[in-house]
Amino acid sequence: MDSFVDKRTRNACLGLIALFVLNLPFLFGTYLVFVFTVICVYAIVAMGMNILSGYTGMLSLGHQAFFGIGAYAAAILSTRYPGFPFPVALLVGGSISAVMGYLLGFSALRTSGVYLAIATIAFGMIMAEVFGEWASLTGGQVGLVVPPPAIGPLRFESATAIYYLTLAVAAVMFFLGINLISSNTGRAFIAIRENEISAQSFGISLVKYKTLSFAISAFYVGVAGGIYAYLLKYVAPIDFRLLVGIEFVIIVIVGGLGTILGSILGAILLFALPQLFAGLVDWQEFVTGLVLLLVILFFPEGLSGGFYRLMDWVRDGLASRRGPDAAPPRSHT
Amino acid sequence: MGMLSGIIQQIIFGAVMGCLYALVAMCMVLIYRGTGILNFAQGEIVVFGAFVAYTLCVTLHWPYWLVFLASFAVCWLLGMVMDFLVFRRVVHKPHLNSLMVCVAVGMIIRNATGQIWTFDDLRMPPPFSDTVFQLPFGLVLSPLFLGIIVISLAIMLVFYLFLNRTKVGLSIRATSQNMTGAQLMGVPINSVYALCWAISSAIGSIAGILTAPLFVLNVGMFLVILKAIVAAVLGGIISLPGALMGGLLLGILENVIGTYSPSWIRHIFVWVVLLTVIIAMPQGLWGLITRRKD
Repeated sequence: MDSFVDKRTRNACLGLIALFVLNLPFLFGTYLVFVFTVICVYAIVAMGMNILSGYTGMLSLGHQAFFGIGAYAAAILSTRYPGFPFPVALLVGGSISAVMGYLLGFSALRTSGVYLAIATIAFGMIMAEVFGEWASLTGGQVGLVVPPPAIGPLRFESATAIYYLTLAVAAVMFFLGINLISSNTGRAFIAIRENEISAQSFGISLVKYKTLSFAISAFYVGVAGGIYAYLLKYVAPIDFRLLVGIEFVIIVIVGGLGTILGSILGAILLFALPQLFAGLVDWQEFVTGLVLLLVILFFPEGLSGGFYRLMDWVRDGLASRRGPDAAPPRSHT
Repeated sequence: MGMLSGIIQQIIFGAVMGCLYALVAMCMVLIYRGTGILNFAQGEIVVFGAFVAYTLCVTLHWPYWLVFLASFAVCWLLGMVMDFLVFRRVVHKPHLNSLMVCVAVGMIIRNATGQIWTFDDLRMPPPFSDTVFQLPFGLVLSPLFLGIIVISLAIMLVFYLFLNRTKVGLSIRATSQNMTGAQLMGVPINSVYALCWAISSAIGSIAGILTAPLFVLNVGMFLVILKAIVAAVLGGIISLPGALMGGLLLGILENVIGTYSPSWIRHIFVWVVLLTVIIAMPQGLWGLITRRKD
């Protein structure tokens, strides 16, 4: 992927991060473990949003609906069938989301840019109303209480268990995402983002890949929604309103469009900082808006772009000390 | 009251909301044509204007005509400041950027409004009496409703004439058609952008003062205004008469359908219309009409 530091240093860094992440429940209390689990959920969401916005270049402000579909699928399956295996519930939620996303993707063929964003807002608003009004299925405005994730008689109740589950799902989704992006499909997405007409002239079908991009990103967000339901143990329509979908987009923009690392950084920044400055909860919207504004105006590559720039700077500093030939050519995806 | 007069009554109520939608939609059309930005922060600007008016009216007891003028002026300034600080930098940038910039500005204004005033509900005194008087056939109307319709239509008319009959209006239209061309002809496009933002914010504040007495005044009122986007898109997003048509149609249909169906249909209806219009006829109502004429 990147070659900003030599392989050994990079592996050492990754190893340290992995060690930290795996031992996290032993280092922190239950509440912080919960916070890190939420960050993992949002990292999965952000990976999905990134496939749509970062790699394919389309904007959706309606993905909170897929988050809701995944959450309600998990909630309904686990309450109606006690012991329902949670991986199946997550897959069901993700698949329903993917089908809906595929259909919504057709609106992206007729429209683009601002119009697409408005169409997705409309979709999100309609789905929010469905969650609130289809009381026999979703529990209406009151919502549903979700039992802990289970496989048959085996139940995962503790915060630590749910943390590891989420981490495992996030890791699987991460490797799927990395592989998707470096596959033909991923390159087709990027080609569409860069120039739709030239992509078409290379034989890339807009119909196929735009709808596919919507479906895949909806699948990611749906799976994340399922975990979110298990994590909060409760789902209600208010968790899936427009502002939530806007937050999803903010995460990928602040983190950096078109990099998976950016998705994770964005999720950490937007959800860890408010936890640290709990006294500022009234101002959270203000700060988020300001951060978003500054990032778009002054750091359009987002946090991960800044990170890469910093690494380049460090490496160039090292290289100039070693001599002009030491620096290998840069290639960032 | 018979079924028919009931429907007519709902059409009147709908026209009141429709005029307000149209007024805000017109502001969005102006910004979209002038700068290529769809102003998602318009709702927050409208609410901000209403809060300014609340302070002047309730706390300082200014006469209402002065409140209108002062709120107009404050939001005019707000528009120019926003343009200078933020929006000038994203003109003709990719839609993803400009749209999210509007979202960011909206969040900042919304939270700042709540911090300056309150996040709770306020009661805005109406500029005109809201006691109803009887019309023939069992219909009712209040001076407030009448005032909303008259003021909105008057503002839209004045603005339409300004855009189509004055030299400044001409420079706005020229900039919206071709920025470089207008610049070469000596149009100071930065001033034009500032003017567009100032006008749309200032007119937005009037819409806010007129909307607030119909509901409770709180920072969540921007969601009501968000429907003006639907009106703008319904009208074709680039034409002022289209915005008026879209607003009226939306307000009337919403009220008539809302009265004779469960509440969830009323809530979903607006967005179903929006989705259908975007997918089936993105050129909007006005686009359909003008195309037929050609």
